[in-house]
Amino acid sequence: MLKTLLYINEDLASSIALRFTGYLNKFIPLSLFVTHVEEPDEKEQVGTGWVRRTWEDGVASSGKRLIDRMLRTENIDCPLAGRPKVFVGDRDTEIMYELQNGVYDLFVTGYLDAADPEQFYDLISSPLCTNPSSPTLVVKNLSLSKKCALLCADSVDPEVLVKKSLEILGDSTFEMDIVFFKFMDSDKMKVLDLEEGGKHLTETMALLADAGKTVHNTTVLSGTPEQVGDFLKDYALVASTLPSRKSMRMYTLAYSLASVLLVHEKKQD
Amino acid sequence: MTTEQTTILILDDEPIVSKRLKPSLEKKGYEVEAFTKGADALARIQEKQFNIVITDLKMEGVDGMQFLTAVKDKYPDTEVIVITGFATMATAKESFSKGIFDFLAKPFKLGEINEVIAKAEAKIKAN
Amino acid sequence: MKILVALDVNTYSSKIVKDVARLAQNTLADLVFLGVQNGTDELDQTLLSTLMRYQQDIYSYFGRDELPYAEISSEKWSKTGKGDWSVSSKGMKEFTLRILAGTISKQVVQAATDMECDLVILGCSKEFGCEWDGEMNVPLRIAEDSPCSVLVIKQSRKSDQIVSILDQSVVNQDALEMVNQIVTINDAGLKIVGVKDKNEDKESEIEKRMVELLTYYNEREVHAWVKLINSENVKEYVTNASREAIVALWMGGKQSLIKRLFSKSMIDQLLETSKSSVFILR
Repeated sequence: MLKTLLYINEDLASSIALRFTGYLNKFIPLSLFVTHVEEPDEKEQVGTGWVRRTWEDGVASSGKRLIDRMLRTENIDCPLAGRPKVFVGDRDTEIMYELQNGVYDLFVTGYLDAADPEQFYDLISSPLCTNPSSPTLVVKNLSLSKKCALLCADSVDPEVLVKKSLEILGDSTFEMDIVFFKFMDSDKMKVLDLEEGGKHLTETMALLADAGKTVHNTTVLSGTPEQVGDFLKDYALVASTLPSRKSMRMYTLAYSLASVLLVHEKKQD
Repeated sequence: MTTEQTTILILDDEPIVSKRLKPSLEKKGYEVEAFTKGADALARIQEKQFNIVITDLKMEGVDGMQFLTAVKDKYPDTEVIVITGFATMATAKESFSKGIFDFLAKPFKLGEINEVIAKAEAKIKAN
Repeated sequence: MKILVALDVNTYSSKIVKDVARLAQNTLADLVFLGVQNGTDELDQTLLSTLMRYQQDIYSYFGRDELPYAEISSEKWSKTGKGDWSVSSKGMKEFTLRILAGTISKQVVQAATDMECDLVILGCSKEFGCEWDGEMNVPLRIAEDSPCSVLVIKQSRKSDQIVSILDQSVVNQDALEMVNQIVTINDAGLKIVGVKDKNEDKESEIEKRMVELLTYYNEREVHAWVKLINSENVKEYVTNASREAIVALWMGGKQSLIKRLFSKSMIDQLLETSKSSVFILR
């Protein structure tokens, strides 16, 4: 079972993330914990000692009510492994603290797919996602597909991608595809011969075969991030290594209608 | 059937459909029962025969096709009108093969369904 | 469902007949084929024979035992008013051929209103923007003034994606159902794009609306994806989306954000730049 921390708030992104996590549980058994952070305005913050603790308890219980409401409304199809964890403070700091202390295998957060890819970059370059203690699943949509894909490109280290993705998806019952992305500015996306994927693709395929993972389809696509992002819509999720800069692959993940699983090179000691 | 009033059962999981249809049909003198849950409608047809059944095909957790099959199996004389928001040739063909009276794709105006109901009623009275 | 199809003798009209047939075959809709001529005295025989030919094209699209319409005889055309000729047949579904005299856009809108149609379909040329019989603003006027949804088919092709743009205004049931039919018939995926006013709160009405729609489609096993865009990006987004997908604009009520953003000139621009079809939903 993957020990998973899901962040929820009372918004559409969380609503989709909750439902998608319930769906994911059918393919990957999860030991699910949910968390919410109440972020009071600075003006609202009061006192010290007992006064502050009482105030924080009040804020936290309003957060608990929010989580209860969300869980009730969404009627999530996945039992929780523990009581919801509600914190008061800065969202990213509190979640990072919990991720490091709780030793989670996966962090899940909702992200409402926006036309502006810069917003996606802001999210994945935030400490919450760059924090290597666990991979991040950015839930963008409720794609009820039975397939997932590994997104490769020349900038992706096949070893990291395969090893880290399989830590999450290895035992899942998702059908797995490989999509190799090559940037080309054109009106129409093209499907290329597998040889065009070069040694990175060959290595990815070999590593998956060594791991005993069956790949159903391998596709080499050349097109714009928008076109390839749109192509990915038929997957439940797409795994790739965390882009460290605003590359064409980053934009492809930003435009992906499917949820994105970001794996890191190293796990922090 | 003993009642003179034509009885109509409506099954659609979108409450707005029943909300719109039921009062309009009652105003015309029909006796109408509306359901949004297939299980409730199925239970009701075990107790009572309706002259006309209006059902959606694609509903949450209910297969409208199964419902109309159940209606026609139990009451071959009941006229079934299919209304669907997701029409395909295949569903239309399958519906007709099960002996439905008419097939209406949504959206439709009240006048349109009233006309179909009147035709179904005329057929029932002629038999 | 009753569909009014505005037709003339130009190629763009003949090219939409197959799409209309496919829609009619799937929905078993009542059909009205409407032509508009200039003079009120005599029936334009070329237009009449063109409409009759289109009607035959539709009939032949159906299989022998599938045709829900009865035969129409060309001798049965009758004048029902000044500059108003029609003939219709009533099988299981109704098929009407009608010719009106006057201005095309006005007559189409009037007929759609009088005949209580649920959808108006028309084609337009793709060579020079979106033009109808040499006039640029006919599709725009019909799209703007029609009482029901309007589908302008610029290039007949099957789209595997319907991009439905909606704002905070109430989702009209008829429009929702119209989208469902187009999604089903095209066997397409549905992208629900919410337009958010930049001044709106974090928990906006539009998000609630999108959750409702996503739930609705999930429960009916329709592939739907959501995307949220800011109002300032909507024009660019719609123009790009219209290159590949059928764009459906949800023209909501008086408070509609899209209505405010999509001024007449914007719909005109969309009709001009779109490479596919444009769907104005009401």
